[in-house]
Amino acid sequence: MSADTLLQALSIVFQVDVLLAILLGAVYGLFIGALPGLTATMSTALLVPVTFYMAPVPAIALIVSSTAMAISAGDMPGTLLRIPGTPASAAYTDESYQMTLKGKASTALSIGFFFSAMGGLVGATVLLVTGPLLAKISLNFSSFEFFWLAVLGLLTCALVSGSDAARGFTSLLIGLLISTVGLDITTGAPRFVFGQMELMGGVSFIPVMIGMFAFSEILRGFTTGQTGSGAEMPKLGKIVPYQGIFGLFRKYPFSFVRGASLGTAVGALPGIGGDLAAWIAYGMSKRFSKTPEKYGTGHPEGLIESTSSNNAGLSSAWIPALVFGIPGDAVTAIAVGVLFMKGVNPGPRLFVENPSMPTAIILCFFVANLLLFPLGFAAIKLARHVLSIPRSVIVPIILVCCFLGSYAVNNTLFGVWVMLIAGVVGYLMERNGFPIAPVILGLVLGPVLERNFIMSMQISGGNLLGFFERPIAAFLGVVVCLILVATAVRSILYFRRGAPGEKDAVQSPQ
Amino acid sequence: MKISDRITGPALSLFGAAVIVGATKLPTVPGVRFGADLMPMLVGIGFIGLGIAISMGAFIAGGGQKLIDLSEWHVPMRKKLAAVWTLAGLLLGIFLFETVGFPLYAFIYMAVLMLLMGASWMVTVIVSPTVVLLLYVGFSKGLLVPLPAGLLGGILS
Repeated sequence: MSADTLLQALSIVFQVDVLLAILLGAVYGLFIGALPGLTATMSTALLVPVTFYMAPVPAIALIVSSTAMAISAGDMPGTLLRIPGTPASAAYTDESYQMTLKGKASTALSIGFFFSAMGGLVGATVLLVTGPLLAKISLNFSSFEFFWLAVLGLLTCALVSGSDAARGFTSLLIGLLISTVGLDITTGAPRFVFGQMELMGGVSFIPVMIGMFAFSEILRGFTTGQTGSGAEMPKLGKIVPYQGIFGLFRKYPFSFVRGASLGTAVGALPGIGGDLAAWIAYGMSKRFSKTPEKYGTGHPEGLIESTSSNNAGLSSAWIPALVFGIPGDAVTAIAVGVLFMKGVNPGPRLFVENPSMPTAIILCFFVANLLLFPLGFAAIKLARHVLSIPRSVIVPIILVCCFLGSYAVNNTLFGVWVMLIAGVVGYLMERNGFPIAPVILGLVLGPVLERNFIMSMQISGGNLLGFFERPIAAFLGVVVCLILVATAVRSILYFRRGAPGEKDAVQSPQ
Repeated sequence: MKISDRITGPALSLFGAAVIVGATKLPTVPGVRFGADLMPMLVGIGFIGLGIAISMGAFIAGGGQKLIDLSEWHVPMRKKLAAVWTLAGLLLGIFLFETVGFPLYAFIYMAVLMLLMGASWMVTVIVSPTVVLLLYVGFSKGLLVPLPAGLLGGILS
């Protein structure tokens, strides 16, 4: 990239309308992300009508900053209320909520904003410097590699859903089954639609997520003494934004580097997006940690790694979107649509014909992520007030937001039905030890897995050895097999030795 | 509400079998070897296997647990009513949403739940209409979500 291009891009970004769009987008993203049940994808979709009236760069800047902020702010309800704001934050909601229960809400929130911003900056740098190269590499991937990558993502549920692998995989299968509803991607045949037109398009994961995480949590609250005043909520402790954050940075530098790198790499793969990165990062962090037993008890290590990968993946998801016009995730799919609407065709030619525009869009990531530091500071300060509101006030507001969020997906009441059913199912699952997070993972990754599986089966003529013929696919396949064997061995040992919790209970003097 | 694995396991296996039956009835395309039924078939087989594993776990662990345990719902009547309204109010909203409109429905839903959850009349009277109005204006005017104004259409338009 030439210096002229960079200067031209800088002059575009530092125009008043672009900076204003970034600021407004960030504030809007903060609002949407902090409200349980309203996701970054939904916030982006809701912004599309607003972008009708804007020039291409401020329109994309608005989307970029709102998404970055919404993803980061999505950690807030997860940390304070155990209701993740986004599918990505679902990967580590239990961890951050455990920190809140331990009186470390300030640290958990600070990790969320600080490492999200840092991860976002890393992703943006990679996007700026090596975007075209990474996109080219990922373009060489075939369905075999994508299949194994999706399997790898799904397997993380075995790592994050506790010791009972059977229950974790059952939850995963529920998600995969829901993902098969609608028109089949290969033949176009309607599946499990039961004559309902609204099911033809499949089940959107947004109302399912709202139902399973927000609605079921509220139902659960009625039986666990969390229905009274705010005083019954977990104690927040002293809120000092970013206090001790540099200490954590020094203590877990590899977690940050690994999370940001993984997020960047996974986010750059077309069709995969950044959500998966957080799941893999959390699983990987636990796998490589010296203290894996601390995970799930309010340990910052996994939180740092997964939250870093979150925003890094968000930025790098734009690599295939900008360089080849292939959306990296739902948000970039919407953004690519906005660019097309404005007569801007993202792709290699854009970098040749008008290089300052894609560069300006990339620079918007830097500004948006830098803005996360001060706005995150303010958000953390305000977080205390979320919990100081009595639950008798906040629960009805959340429920109405759940209704609105589910309705706004397609502007129909079908989403509310889905949310309601998912909420009741989620409640029953949670009360019976079935983790909820793998359902969402299965639902999000189901279509990616199925599409690439069917394609690969057709290419190999049903020969499963064909999945190991390409070098990268073979490597990923072997990794998946090793994880499966390790999980099986762990489960057998778990049953033979007995659950650690049970042993502890027996040995404990209490 | 806790359900024993002695019920959950077999239920999952049965559900898996039902998924497989459903998958076999999916239309096939001539010449397409791997079609719409492959994924549901695999998922169904997975459900059967996991159902058996969970049943075996319950069998090994032995009895003792109630088949269905509702003891956690032994809570004050007010909480039970709040839980019932949470569900019933949403169902009611789905059917009345278009006619009654978002502002009135959301106000009633929110106010009743707040009172059932122990909020004071004063807080309820101030908070619920304010929040509903803010949400309505924010979503319908700001974000252009077509929320029906319903019975209050004349006042809010």
